[in-house]
Amino acid sequence: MKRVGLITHPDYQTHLTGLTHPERPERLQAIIEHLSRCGLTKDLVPLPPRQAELKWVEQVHGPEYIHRVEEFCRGGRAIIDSMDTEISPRSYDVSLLAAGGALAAADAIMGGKVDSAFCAVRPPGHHALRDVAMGFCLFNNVAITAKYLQQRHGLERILIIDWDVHHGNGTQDAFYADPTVFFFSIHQFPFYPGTGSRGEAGEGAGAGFTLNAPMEAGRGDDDYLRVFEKILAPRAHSFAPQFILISAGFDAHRADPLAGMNLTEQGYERLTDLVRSWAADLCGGRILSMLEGGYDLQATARSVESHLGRLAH
Amino acid sequence: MTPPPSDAAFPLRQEIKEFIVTQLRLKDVSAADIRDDESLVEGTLGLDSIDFLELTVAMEKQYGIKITDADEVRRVFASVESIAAYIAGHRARAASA
Repeated sequence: MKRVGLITHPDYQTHLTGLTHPERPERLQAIIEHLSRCGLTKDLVPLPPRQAELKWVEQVHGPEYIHRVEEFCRGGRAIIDSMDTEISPRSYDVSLLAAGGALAAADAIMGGKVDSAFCAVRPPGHHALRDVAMGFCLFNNVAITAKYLQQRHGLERILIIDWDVHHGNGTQDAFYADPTVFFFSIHQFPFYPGTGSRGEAGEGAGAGFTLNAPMEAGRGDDDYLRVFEKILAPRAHSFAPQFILISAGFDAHRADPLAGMNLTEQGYERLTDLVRSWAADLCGGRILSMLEGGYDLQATARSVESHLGRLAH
Repeated sequence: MTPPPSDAAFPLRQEIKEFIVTQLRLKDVSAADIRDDESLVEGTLGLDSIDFLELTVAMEKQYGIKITDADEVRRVFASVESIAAYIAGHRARAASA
């Protein structure tokens, strides 16, 4: 058995988004209750999150933007930057705790306390741009973690795999000209947020280090596996990452109410197996996965179980 | 008598057929089974969008081409003939640049 860390905290449920918003506190509650019910919690190593230090958040976001998020949240505003990104008075602190949860997990993996980890955190992060909140995201947790791994832990090459059903535009943007972070996104296309076409492949020194796999609606487990095995695998191996980050949305699940993909829990299990085998070959098994989307409570909870079950196997 | 154009007369087309068979690890099809002008979607191969995604990524690397949108992928990957024409055009543009 591998030692898999779990980052979560009741405070993540205090980022309030309104009664009808799909990205709601109950998502985490459903995941935690399900993991406990199916007996997986006892096999996981609980890791305490911390608030991300601003110097790490500033590696990805501008200081004025960070200040604006703080001001808007504490000032009682209901939305920031786009109508879908709802906030509440605690959202700034909770966002720092989400990013900091990932940093704590990174420390635990790099320190050898666990082999891999999953962050059951919210708000999600992969749509957040340098100076713009969007798509339910305030701070880009996965991008901040990649920068942290490089600067705090001295790693040179990070692979980010984004299997959320929506393109990870914020993460792509953060590393578009950066050859030290390979960003792969597989997503429904055309779809929100409108980016993620094949032609978006990086620029300057980063040309060739962004790989988008746009998929038409209706694709399922076998299709995703084919893309991972035939398209991503050779690129991942030639990049030779020292750490793999996963933007783990579970909204490509067939039950998800916001998207039109057809994945099942078994699909997430197989994807996890594959990524785990690459990590074993390439980077000592180091995988840090963090929750992005996934809006059917039970499907998301079962998919997280499948994902963690395979990480722990 | 003049023989009909053979694959040997079109080395790029032959190369592309072999590239497709190798890249997609096709088991029951050889390069010789693929006609220059047959549809890659509806013909012998019956390729789907994931096959095209894989071919696009691989050909970008092999031939230095960049195919940017779905309509262009459909147009370029219509047949071996259209792929060869696209690559030849790309080479000609690169040579004259």
